[in-house]
Amino acid sequence: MIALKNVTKNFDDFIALDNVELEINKGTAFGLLGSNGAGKSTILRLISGIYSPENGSVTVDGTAVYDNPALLEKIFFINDETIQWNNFTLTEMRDYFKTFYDSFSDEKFESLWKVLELPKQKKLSMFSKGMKRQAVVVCALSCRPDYLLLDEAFDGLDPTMRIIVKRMLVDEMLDNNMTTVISSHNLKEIDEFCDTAGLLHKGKVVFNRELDTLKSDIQKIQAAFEGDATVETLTKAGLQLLHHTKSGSVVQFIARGARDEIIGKLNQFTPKFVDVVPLTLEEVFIYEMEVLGYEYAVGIDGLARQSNK
Amino acid sequence: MFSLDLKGGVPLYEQLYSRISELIASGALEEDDKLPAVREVAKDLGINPNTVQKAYRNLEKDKLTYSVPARGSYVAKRAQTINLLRERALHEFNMAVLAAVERGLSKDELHAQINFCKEGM
Repeated sequence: MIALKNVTKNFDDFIALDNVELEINKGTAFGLLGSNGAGKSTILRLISGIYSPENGSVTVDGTAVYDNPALLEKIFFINDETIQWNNFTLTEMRDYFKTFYDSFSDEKFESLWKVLELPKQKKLSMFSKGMKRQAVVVCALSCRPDYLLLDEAFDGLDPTMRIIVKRMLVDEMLDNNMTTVISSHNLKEIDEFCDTAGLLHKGKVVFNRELDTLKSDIQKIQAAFEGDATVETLTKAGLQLLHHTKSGSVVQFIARGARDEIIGKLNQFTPKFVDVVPLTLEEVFIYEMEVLGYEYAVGIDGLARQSNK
Repeated sequence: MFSLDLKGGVPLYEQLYSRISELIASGALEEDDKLPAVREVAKDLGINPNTVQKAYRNLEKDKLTYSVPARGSYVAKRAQTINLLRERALHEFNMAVLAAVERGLSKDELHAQINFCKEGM
C-alpha cells in the first residue's frame, strides 16, 4: 500500500502539496486527476523517492521511500519526459535498468518489444514521440515493479497503442498484483481503467474515492415540476446543488446524494417527470471543479451536452 | 466478446453484469458454459481486471454463475437467471405503476396502457 500522511511539499514559497492524506491499495489502479499545477506530478515524484516531503511521511508497504534503494526497486516511475533517453538504444536502456532492478525479466522484455515492433539498435532520438513512450513502457514492465507510476503516460500514444499498453498492464496486474497509479488529463481513460481516483486542487485532495461509489453519490436530474423548483427552493428542500439550469419548463441540475434520496425530496414539487441520468467521470470532475470556483467550468455546457449524446 | 458503453455513466461492472445475465437468459450462454477468463475480458475491453472480477463476483453472489477453484466461472441453471430478471422486471413495473398512480393515472387508464403495449408486441 502507498500512504501519504500529512504531506506538505513546497518549492520556494509555492505550496505544491498542502497537508495531503492519500492511501492507494495494493493491486488497484489509481487515477490522479487535477488541473495543471494541482500537484499530481509532485505526488508521483514523492512516491518514487525523487523528492522528500517537508512535512509528513510517504511510505510504500509501511516503509519510507525517500533514500531507500531496496524499496525503490519495487517502484517504477514513468515520467512525462523522455528526453533523457535520446542517446540510448532500446538494448542500452535494457542494460541500464537491469543494473537497478534485480527483478528485471529478459523474457518479458523480449516478448514486449516484439509486440510493439520497436527497433532495438536505433537511438531513441530517432524514435517518434509515441515510440519513445512505448520504449519506456517496455522497460518499465520488464522490471516487474510492484508499483508502476505513469505521469500522463497514455497521452502521447495513439488509440491502438493505448489498448496494447493497457493489455500489458492488465497482465502485470493479474500476474504480479501490480499497483498502477496514473495521472492523466484524459478522464475517459481514467474512468475506464482505474477503480479509484483522487482529485487534486491547489495542492489539496478534493476527493479520493472508488469510482463506482463516487458516481452513485452525485446525480444529474432533468425534470419538469408543477411547483416552483428554483435554486432557493430546491436547496431549502435539503438538496445539495452543484449546478442548476432552466430552459422553458425543464429544469436540469446536478445534486449530491443517492438517487432515491434525491427523488424523494423532489416529490414536494409535484414533478411532471423526473429523469435521473448517471454522470460520466468527466462531468463529476467538471462540476466538482466548478464548486471550487475553477475557470474550467466555462466550457461546462458544451461538455455536458457532448456527453449526453 | 462483450460490448460495453464506455462513454456512459453506468458503472462498467454493472454493464458487464447485465450483458452476461442477458446472454444467459437468452440462451446464448448455456448452462455449464465457461465464462471467458477475467484476463481475456479485461484485455479485450482495455479495462481494469478488478472491474471484471467485481462483475463476476456479483454474478456468482446472485447464483447466476458458479465458480470452480482454479478453473473459472461457469453458467449456473438458466432458470435462476430468468427468475431473477423476471423479479427485477416486476420490481421496475411496480415502481412505474406507483409513479403513475402518484401522478393521478386511474386504474382504467393503466389497464388500457397495458393492452396498448401488448398490441404493439
